[in-house]
Amino acid sequence: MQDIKSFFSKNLTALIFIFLIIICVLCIINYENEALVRIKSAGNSFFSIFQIGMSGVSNFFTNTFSSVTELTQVKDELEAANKKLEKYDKLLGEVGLLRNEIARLREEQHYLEEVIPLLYDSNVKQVPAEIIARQPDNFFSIITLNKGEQDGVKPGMPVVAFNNGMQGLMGKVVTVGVTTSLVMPIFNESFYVSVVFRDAQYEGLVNGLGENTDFVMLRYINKKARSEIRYGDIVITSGMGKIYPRGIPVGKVNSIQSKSYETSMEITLEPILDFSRLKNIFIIVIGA
Amino acid sequence: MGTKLKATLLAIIIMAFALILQSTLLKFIAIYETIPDLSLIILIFISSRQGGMVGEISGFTTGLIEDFISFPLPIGFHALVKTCIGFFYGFIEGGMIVDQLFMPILLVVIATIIKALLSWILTLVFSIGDMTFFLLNYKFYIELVYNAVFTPVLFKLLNAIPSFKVIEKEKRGL
Repeated sequence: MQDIKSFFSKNLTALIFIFLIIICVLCIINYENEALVRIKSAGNSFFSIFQIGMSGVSNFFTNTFSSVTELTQVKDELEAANKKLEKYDKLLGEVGLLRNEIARLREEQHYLEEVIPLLYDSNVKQVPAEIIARQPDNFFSIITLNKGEQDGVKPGMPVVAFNNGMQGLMGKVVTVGVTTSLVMPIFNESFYVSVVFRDAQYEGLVNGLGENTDFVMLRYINKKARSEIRYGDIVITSGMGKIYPRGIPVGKVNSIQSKSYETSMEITLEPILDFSRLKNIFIIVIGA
Repeated sequence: MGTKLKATLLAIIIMAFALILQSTLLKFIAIYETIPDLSLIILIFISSRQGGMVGEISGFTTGLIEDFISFPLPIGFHALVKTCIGFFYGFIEGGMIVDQLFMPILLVVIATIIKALLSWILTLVFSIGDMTFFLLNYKFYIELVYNAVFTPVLFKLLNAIPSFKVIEKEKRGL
């Protein structure tokens, strides 16, 4: 008995280490166990309270700083604008502006035709959300939003955002806590979405290429489409499978790869959204 | 024993705070979306000063917290990595630190490499996710440099906490 006690007291650190490792291995092996999933969700909900608090503090300071900077900028812009007004007596300069405006309005018209019916669909609700945290390790780019179960959010729901006046698909909800949810962005390798060309109407499947690249890949596009697809063409969600509503812009054609021995093409898309400057994020709640 | 317990609890609180900081405020200093791993640096400090017991328990607890706020890695992943690092760095306890700058940086650089290697091995063994070999990932090198830069600052700050100085006082017989 004395020997056992002496053994335990001499090797306590190592024994605790072995015990902790066994617990960790068992948790990893049984990661799909419902109890562990619930524990993870509960833990996420608890610690997200602190993330919300910390994010709130930083938002206060950044917003204050932005407001002061913006005020100074607005004052300078006003002075510059007054000076410019005196110079604007040449119609040729206005023609260029009008041309840009027409192009922008055409883009807006496309967007309104596709998305407005969705907005007024009584079966669909858009829940505004903010980014409060990103994953602390550097392996994955999962994003934490400040809306969760109590706001009607469920796993699998699509998430959209705005950049430069254009709406684009940001990703999908993968885990939901009481007040927060984790979102997998479109460039994640596990992300898939069925899409269609806005103008050419050819369908395909978009898949993320990982966090180390700025592009996503569109596959299974029939080679017949090659003559109809142009660089810069926009790809939107097709609505197949009823997971993502139809009409949400996903990306623009960046490059086309077509191998002679394959019947379909692979197209590299540049995402519509700049993920370093995401604003006006909405979780689409279908069947609200 | 009471001293160790106090040091463990304090270490867990500080590392949990560092994790929350990493997931919220540190995005403002991210380089190519890579941030320093403050909780790892703090764990190295704690383990090398307080020993394996404090290191493995605080590493396990903090790793669990990191698992809760991460996806898609399962519960136990970061806990296992940090428990191992906390335990093995505990063997340095009481060892002679030659200088206050380069030795801590060396310890943290080695720990960052061990963390990346262990994580990669775990993803292969348990088929979790689809991670590139860590030496081929540019984020690993950015994190390595970032951790090295933050080490002297964090070590200096943590040295000022009275609870973490107890072991040194005892060893000098004060």
